[in-house]
Amino acid sequence: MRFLRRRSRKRACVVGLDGVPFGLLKTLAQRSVMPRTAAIIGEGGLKQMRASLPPVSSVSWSSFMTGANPAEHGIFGFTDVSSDTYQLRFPTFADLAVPTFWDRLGESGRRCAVINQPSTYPARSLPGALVSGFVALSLGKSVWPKEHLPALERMGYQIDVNTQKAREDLDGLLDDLDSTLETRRQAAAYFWERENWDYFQVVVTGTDRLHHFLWNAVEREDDPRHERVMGYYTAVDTFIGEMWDRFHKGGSADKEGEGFVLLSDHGFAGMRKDVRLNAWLRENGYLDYKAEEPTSVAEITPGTRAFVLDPGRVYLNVKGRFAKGCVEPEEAPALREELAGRMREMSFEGEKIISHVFTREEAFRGPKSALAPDLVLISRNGFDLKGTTKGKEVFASTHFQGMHTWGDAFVWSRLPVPDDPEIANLAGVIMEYLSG
Amino acid sequence: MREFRKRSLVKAICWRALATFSTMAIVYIFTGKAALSLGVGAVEVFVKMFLYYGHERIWNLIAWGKLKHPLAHLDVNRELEPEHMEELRKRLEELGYL
Repeated sequence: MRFLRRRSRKRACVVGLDGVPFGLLKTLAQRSVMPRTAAIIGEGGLKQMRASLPPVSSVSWSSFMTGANPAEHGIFGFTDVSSDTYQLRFPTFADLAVPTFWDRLGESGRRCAVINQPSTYPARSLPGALVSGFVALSLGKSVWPKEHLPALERMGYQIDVNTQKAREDLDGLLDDLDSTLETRRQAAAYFWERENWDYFQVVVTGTDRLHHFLWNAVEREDDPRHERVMGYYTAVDTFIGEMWDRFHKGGSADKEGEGFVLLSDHGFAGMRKDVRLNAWLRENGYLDYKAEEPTSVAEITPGTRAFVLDPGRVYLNVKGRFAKGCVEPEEAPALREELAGRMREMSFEGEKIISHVFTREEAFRGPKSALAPDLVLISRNGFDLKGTTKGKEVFASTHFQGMHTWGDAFVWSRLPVPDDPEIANLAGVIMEYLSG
Repeated sequence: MREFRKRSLVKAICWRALATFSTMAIVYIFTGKAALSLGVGAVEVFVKMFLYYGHERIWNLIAWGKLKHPLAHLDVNRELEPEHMEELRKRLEELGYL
């Protein structure tokens, strides 16, 4: 009976490519660097997609896995600030305030296998199996249920590349990316066979790491590492092809491609300058520190009117909201408008930096809106917005070559994804398909 | 899982229609009186619908015997251990997120 019931159910398989922009995917497909992907997307269905606000993996993937706005799921960035002490804290999977759609599928008896999903650390129980992705600190706490841990250890499963080493050794990073992808491939094969799943998901995060450190080699054909980087993309393409074949071989789709989804959580672009927004606020008299070389926003003076958390989250230091708040609540709207106007005009060598300014009300809707930033800034390509408190200069150069972008993530699916989609739309589409 | 009031209300109406028709049929079978059967049905349909709705809402408040939500056991806003905080900070810094 169970066998008969199993066969009648629909299945879905999602392959996530962290930080792969819509335009790049199309280009790599057209240039035959990714021939399997080209064949999949060739017949249509590829759409440009908006990432979350702000466009960082923790927020975007949390929106994907819950189908919710940040003001509902409660994840606004890799960092949060305490309203009492202004100390930074790092939200984890335990902070997610709403169930994932995997939990919801579990309520109707469906099982999920989810591998390398960012922002699911530490792993917790879910109906099926989970291997947490970035920012997972140890494999032992990244695997649910624990019975899968020995198998992952035996295959030498790597959660991520060594980003500390990557800075000094870019060729070593490429080796690391290859070996990490290989263990991801092995883990996918393992869970595909071992788990009795209705929903399968695997995320490749190496693409994001590659873009942070080696975006120039992705874009420029004359870069000495260009061929090697294209080789990595071909390996990712082979992996996508394997997943596609496996999905169809198992009779998971009634029609070809139905239930198979490719997506990215945000886009990427080349980077010219870091834009340190706290330095700009300080330079313009909105913020000051007690220390000469502050290490965090915990060291702001009581007279500080606004501060920024990564990547472009502006918080007004309003009385009642923050312990050292100095802005009267009735003055906050005018201050917010003033800041939005001035930040919109920020420029570097005559070039505007900011492309969009969203107010809290525009970007967030949900019971946790009160915790949301007052403004979210999105920059033009090339200018990476930062919430660091280091440095007095607004503009800085770093060893990073790429930066996240908001409007050019992608999704490919034969399911009815809305036109002009945003990442939070996909959970509903997938759930509706599996429940149909 | 909790139920919304609307669901309890719709369930009450559905159940009442089914139960009242069966009660009317039974009364008619036992007494052979159509008017009595209709009268019992007319009174019962309203009285028991309210009772059923109240009964559902009270049971909805009782957790015993319900499937717990998978997130129910989670300690939301749990703080990380200090050494993990430091490691996390380092990882985020390595990717330029801090």
